[in-house]
Amino acid sequence: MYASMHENTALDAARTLVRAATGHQAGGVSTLMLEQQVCAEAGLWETAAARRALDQSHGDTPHAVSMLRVWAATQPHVHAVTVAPDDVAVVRRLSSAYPEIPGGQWLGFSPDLAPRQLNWSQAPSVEEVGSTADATATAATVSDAPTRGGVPRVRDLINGVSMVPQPDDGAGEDPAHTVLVPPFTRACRLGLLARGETGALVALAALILGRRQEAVLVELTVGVARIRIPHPRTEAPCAVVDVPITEVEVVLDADVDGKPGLAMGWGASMGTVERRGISLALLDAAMQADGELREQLVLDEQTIIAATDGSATNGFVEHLRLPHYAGFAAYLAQAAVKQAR
Amino acid sequence: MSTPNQPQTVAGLAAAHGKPEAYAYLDEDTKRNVRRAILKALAIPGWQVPFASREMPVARGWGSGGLQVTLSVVGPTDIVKVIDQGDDFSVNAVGMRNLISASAQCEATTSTPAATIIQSRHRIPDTDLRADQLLVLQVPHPEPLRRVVPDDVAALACHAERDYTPAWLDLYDAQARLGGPRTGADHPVLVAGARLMSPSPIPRHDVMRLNQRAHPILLGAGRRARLTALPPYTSVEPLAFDDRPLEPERPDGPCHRCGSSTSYRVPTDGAGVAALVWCCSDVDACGARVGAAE
Repeated sequence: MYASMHENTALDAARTLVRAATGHQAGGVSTLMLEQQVCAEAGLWETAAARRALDQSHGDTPHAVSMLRVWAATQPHVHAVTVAPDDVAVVRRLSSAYPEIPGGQWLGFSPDLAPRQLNWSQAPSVEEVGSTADATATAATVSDAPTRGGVPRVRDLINGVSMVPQPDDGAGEDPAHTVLVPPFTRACRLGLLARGETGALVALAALILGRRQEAVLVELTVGVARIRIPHPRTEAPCAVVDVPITEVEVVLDADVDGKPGLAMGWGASMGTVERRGISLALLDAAMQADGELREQLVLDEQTIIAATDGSATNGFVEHLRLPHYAGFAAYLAQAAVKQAR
Repeated sequence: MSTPNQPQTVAGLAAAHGKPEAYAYLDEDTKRNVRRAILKALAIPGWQVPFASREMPVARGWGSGGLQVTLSVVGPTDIVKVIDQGDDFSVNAVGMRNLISASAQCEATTSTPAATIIQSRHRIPDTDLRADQLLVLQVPHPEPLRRVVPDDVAALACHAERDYTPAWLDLYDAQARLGGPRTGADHPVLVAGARLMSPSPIPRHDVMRLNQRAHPILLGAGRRARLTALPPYTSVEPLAFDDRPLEPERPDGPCHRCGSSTSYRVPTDGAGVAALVWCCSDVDACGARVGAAE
């Protein structure tokens, strides 16, 4: 359980998971999260290629992303079948909006448990390449992981407050396959943003977060999605790959019909770089709350300095993982009073 | 070691404990800076004092400000409690409690009456604190005017001139259009009738309990590098019109564990029950009530 961390065997298991997550080694240095970030920004899940690109670009992340996209651009494109909820195994799940949620919370691979103090006595860990432990290997090894279809959505618990209606403007196009032109549908917008650069997403999300009254992470899940493509001859869906996905839903305060309500934002990113998913959800919620971010953003020195302070913006965006239920209950209570009026 | 005439030093304490690193994690320069900021903040209740906020082993926005305040005042005889939304066992609270008690060689507790220093995020313990206890609050946005005066320099001028017209206008606007203030948590307060202060995102239930407390409250905002303090017995009033007092939250039912109908309660999943049930957010006080009833 996340919000309430009593010492037990599950917690020990979670710590072991974080310690063991050495992932793939490049010269004795774990580049697990960096590979995932490069893949997410490239919009292409192939960690081995990302590792190769990182090596050949001497660790220059934007260069490595570019190499992956250049490589993918000339590959044949196969349309995948829409992922079914039962094909997503959930390996980590938490909510900041309620102390306890139906279906429970699981720490899983929790970045918060990794120490932030540099350990000088420990040599860079050198293990054999391709060691099995990584953030999502649990899905393969933990056969009893529940599926997304079998776990209720935390958003369904929110009641007594009006929500900004979500635009129903159809399925999106694949930005890797089609040239998208504005105005974008919400799905296209989400698809484009999902490949956004991590730092840029976090900086914009932190700007939004600093101006809001209420921002609560309703649900964060890390799951492993089984991707299927239609068989070229029989058309029967065949599983081809398992891709880790971070899916996040947040709510922001918003005015609905002149009364305080909530805007529900959704974000999903490949890999387990959770700040990407949280930022995407925040940006989506802000765009729903204020149309096209109508609130004027003045680029004065204070705003620019605040948005470029990486440790502050990353920490602030990721702090949404902390429990927020006391403040959330307070917001819901005042919104309910005004609804009744 | 130290004689009665010779005050204990940080270095002395470190040597006494045979620790190569500084006592209570922070180096002496940082501690001195934070302590001076605390003294200045206590001298001007409700005023935001800048301090040399360091990069801490918790992320920015995860209580780095509260942690620096606690580590600057903690001593070996202290008993430290850390809560997050009232819960002692949140991942982050456990991490900080372990860091404080390990680096300061002091005791840790989850009991509110037993603690000498209570570091809290977004809640004030249900159990009233005594004069010998210290409450440290973690603050995300120390500037109460941030939504109405986005420019920090202009906001500072407002504070210097005690001109809170923008905040009053915002409150009037919400009253006229919505029928009440739009703040859920973090309702701004007037300290000593003069200075507007953010009480950190505590619910209105707690905002209304801030007045004339017997113990000091220190508010640390690490990301924004600001420290604010409320000395004991400070007058703290929520920003509200005389004929429109601030209303606390009104939960729909008693706590499903202890049955209290006066504590601050939050909705939660009631294992097995279809709808949400209410439970106390202060886990220690709730547990004490359950224990007393049995």
